[in-house]
Amino acid sequence: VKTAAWAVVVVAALSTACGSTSERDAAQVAQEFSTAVAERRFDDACARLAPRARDRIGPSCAAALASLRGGAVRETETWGDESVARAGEHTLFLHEFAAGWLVTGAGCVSRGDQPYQCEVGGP
Amino acid sequence: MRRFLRDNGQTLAFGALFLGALVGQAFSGLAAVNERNLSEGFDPVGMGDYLTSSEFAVDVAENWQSEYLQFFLFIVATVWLVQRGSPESRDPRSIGRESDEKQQVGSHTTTASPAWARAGGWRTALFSRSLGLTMAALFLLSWLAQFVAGRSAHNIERLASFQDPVGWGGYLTSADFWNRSAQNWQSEFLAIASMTILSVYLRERGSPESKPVGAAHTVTEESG
Repeated sequence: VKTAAWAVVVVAALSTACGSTSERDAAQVAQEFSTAVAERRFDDACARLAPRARDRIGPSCAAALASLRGGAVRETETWGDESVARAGEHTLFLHEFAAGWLVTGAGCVSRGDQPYQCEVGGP
Repeated sequence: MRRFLRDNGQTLAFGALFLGALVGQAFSGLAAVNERNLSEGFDPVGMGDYLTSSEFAVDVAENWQSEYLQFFLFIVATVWLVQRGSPESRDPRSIGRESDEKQQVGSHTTTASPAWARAGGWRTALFSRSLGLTMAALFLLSWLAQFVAGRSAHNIERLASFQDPVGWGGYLTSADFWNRSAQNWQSEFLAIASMTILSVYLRERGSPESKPVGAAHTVTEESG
């Protein structure tokens, strides 16, 4: 019985670590956001921003996104309901809400051990 | 049925307490996670999602591993380590694995002895260490589960804080992994040390973990 209980714990832990469907969904939203930015379709990009990121950029979402650069998403890594995507030179952070994946940080650059600095959203 | 309950009271009562505490942990843990989700502007999660999350798994596993480590060390170390006057200790004059006669193996088995105690060879050797080995295996399995689930929970936290996730090596040397391990180990070792020394001078009438109330403080290896 103990072995079975542990198998459950290990499988649960592993399945949490490798959510492939979740990862694809996060990658898809990251790509849609990045493409919308590249094609200057800011309303589409804004629709994929998480509420808190959107609230922080003021009344004109389009103006806040104008400085971002889009690009092809070349890599994503997903853990539970959090995901990070690399697009061009920048990094995107995403969170899975009840309604699906949304961007919590865009145009982010690494600061080593410090949290990323993001042009939109972020810490 | 009544006799079964009486004869297995310890296992059943502590098994029920374990399940009750686990249910309590599930509800309080879910509430804590959702408090945090609310403060970060995220949606609350349901019980099903929380019970299959790495956060719940690591919180369970980190406590399990330390308990099994405690029992493994206590079982094996007390073959050689003694505490004069403690009912948790062997008599200082009989340190070690003891003779076949005292351990009822070899030519000293009886018809009531377990089959592997009578079998001789590797089976008796393995059976002679089966309690410690099982505790060690359960410790290693639960520590592995803590490591796997801990890395996942740690990476979720890092991503939510806009930091890069860490790999296996990074997590093995991380403060999170060793802090979770050490904070549980210290409490287990404190419990063993205090139980061992307090039982030299204090008594609990009727408990097999205590010496008889009237036994001298210097008497070792006697329970009442």
